Amino acid sequence: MSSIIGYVFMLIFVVTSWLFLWIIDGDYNLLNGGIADLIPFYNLAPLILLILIPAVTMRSFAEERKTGTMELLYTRPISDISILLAKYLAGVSLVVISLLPTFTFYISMHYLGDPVGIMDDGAAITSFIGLILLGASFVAIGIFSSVITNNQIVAFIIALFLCWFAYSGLSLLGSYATFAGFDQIIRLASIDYHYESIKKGVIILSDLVYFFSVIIFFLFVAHNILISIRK
Amino acid sequence: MARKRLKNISNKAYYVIISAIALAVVILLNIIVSFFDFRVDFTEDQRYSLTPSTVEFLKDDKALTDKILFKIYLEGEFPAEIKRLQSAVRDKLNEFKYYAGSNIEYEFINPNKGSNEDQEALKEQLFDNGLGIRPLDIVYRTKGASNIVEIFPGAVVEYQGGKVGSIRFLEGGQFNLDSKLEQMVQMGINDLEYKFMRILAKATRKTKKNLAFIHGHGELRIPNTMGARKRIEDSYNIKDIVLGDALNALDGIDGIIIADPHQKYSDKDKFIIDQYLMNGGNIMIFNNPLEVNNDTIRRTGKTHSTRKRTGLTELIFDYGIKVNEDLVIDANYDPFVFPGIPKGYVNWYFYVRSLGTDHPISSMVNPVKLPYASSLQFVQTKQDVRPSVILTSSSNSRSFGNVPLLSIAMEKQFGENPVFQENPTDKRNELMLAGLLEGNFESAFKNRIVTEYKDNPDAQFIENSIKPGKLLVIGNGTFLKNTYYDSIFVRESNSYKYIPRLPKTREIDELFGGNLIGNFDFFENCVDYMLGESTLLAIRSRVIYLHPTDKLKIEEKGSFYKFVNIIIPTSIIILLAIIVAVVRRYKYVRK
Repeated sequence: MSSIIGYVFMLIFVVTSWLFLWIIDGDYNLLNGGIADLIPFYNLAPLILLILIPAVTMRSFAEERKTGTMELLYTRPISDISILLAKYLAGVSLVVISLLPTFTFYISMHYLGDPVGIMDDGAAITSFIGLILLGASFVAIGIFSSVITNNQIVAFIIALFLCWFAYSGLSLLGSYATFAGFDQIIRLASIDYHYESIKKGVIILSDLVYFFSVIIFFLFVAHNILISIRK
Repeated sequence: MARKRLKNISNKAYYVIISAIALAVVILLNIIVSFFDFRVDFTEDQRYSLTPSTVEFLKDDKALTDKILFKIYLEGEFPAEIKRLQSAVRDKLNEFKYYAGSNIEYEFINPNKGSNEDQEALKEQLFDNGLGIRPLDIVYRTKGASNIVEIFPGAVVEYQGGKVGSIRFLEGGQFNLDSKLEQMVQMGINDLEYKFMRILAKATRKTKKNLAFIHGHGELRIPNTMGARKRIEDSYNIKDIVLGDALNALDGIDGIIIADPHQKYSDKDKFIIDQYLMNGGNIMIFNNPLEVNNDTIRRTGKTHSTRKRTGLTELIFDYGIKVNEDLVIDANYDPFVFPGIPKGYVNWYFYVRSLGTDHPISSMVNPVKLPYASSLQFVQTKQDVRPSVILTSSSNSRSFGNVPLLSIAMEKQFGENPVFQENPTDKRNELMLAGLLEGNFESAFKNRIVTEYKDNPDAQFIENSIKPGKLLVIGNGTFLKNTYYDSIFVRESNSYKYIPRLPKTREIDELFGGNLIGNFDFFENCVDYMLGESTLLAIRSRVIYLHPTDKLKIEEKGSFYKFVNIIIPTSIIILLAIIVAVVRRYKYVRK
């Protein structure tokens, strides 16, 4: 929490969400939606995180590699895995902390319901967990992208692409008759497919396993790369 | 040097390999886990889980004693929306299997596989042979060209070796991929449990209940109601009864339908109906006191509505529902096909697209088209009855005149976007078009009994209900008339054969409006409700809550909420930044 970037991240996240949810007269608008839930927010937030998370994670390793502080890190008595996990958890906690101020959206919808409090709290909390899992997956992808290059911009672009591809690219690929029989399999690999039910308020074991698989896989590969680039 | 490089490369290869292995493990794990059916529904109303009554039915060994097979014709290459429906069907059936075990079986069949003859034969069987799975054509665009994919969104169900019926997941017709398809699919998915349970209940039903259409007073003729009958004939014994033949004409009948009578009901007939209700009968009266002749409008452009004097409105009034002698005009309407004018149709405010309430009969169906409907009102009586509103007009509607004059010029008079009320969004403008009374009634003949029956010992006059009954009144008599189908008379068997009029076409009025109507679904629900199919009702009455926002509050306090939702979050973040900075400095100074 030392650098300014964390606060910029939070502010941009909150302001963008606010603009789309409360001001701009579009699909995401909560006031015009007529339904007291935060589904528009849970639809929108992945798109914002998709752009912001790569921006935060891009410097995590790429910068260290470029400026040579990586060596400095290696000399300290910390294992590679702790370095990786520390940076990863920093990213995840940033996501969680930025989601907390949006609690006011929740309270607002609670009071805007007709009658007050008709909002489905169980579903809203479950969706919140889903959003954290999704954010955590994006952070893992971002960290991975930052490890494979020593150029921040490249790391950002790769992370942006991978996050988008995993989130909606795959399901777009899997839409009507692109790859005949493989459509459904491709869709099954996409994040939004697994985000769909948890967003509505249903936790399914296979979705949880999917999210943790994505996180662990990308961290595992990042860890491998960290070891292999160690001189 | 060379050796080091080699080692380096092999090192990299090593990590590539273990990464690949990790990927394989992860994929495998995901595949394995997908076979586990563990899910927790955290929504308040458990809207993504089965209803308790369904679970109870499925767990009951005596209910489902044999294998039931669902042949689902949803296999092949589909757009993503239909894929979603397909996997929802599979998920739902797997959930059913989870409770019922091996007695539930399903298979997905691709109707477009096999030789051309086989395909044609199968499709004909699905559609024409009365299974009623209408093909759905989905229009989509690829590479600038418009393509059509034809699907059969339905299933045929077999139990104990024989067909028990079919399920339609979606209505047939033609749909653009980018239009309402997604919404339709969502509705279809929401309705899956009901549709499966309906067929299960039907398959395992030991005795069928008796439903009678009343005749003899110019009611809808049998062929006119074939479409509606088709919907319920598998589940009920349908009888046609002429009253007045005998006082006990309705013995053993579980429900009666009086659809669009034109002539007067004699005292005797009314007495029979009255006593039937006193014995806990279930009565459905579909009737409006005014009649409009469409032929006259088509010929002259205008017509007067005429009064029908059936005497039923007085009878219903005694039980607690007043049928007004008016016609309802609604801004939510269907068009009236009118040849000879450039547009081919006029916007016909008398074709009310009636909206359901949260009552199980009407909550889940498409708008019901009521051509020339009369409004209803509940009457305060001393009877022990529970009233429910079943159908209403929209909030932008009003009752039109007392025996009014109708003219096609009305479209010009009211304009394309008619405003019938000062405040067209006020819910209070909604007029009741269908109402239900349940409970113990008081005989309409109580204080005016005709001596003919009073003195007749066979009549056994009952003053007050001995069992609770139900009375459903709809201010329209023709909503259950055939729309898609026609019937032809078969001389040999002296009966009507029910045939599709023209495959794949919709009723012409509907074609112009482009709207789907839920008339037959609504009718089916009415019958199920009135004849008390309890297992089904529990699912139907399960309210999937909409969680609406308070429109008024949003209008009044919208800017307050807009303001609050930016000020508080940003303040929290700035505050957090300051606190962290202060804490750091404090720590630093202490050191």
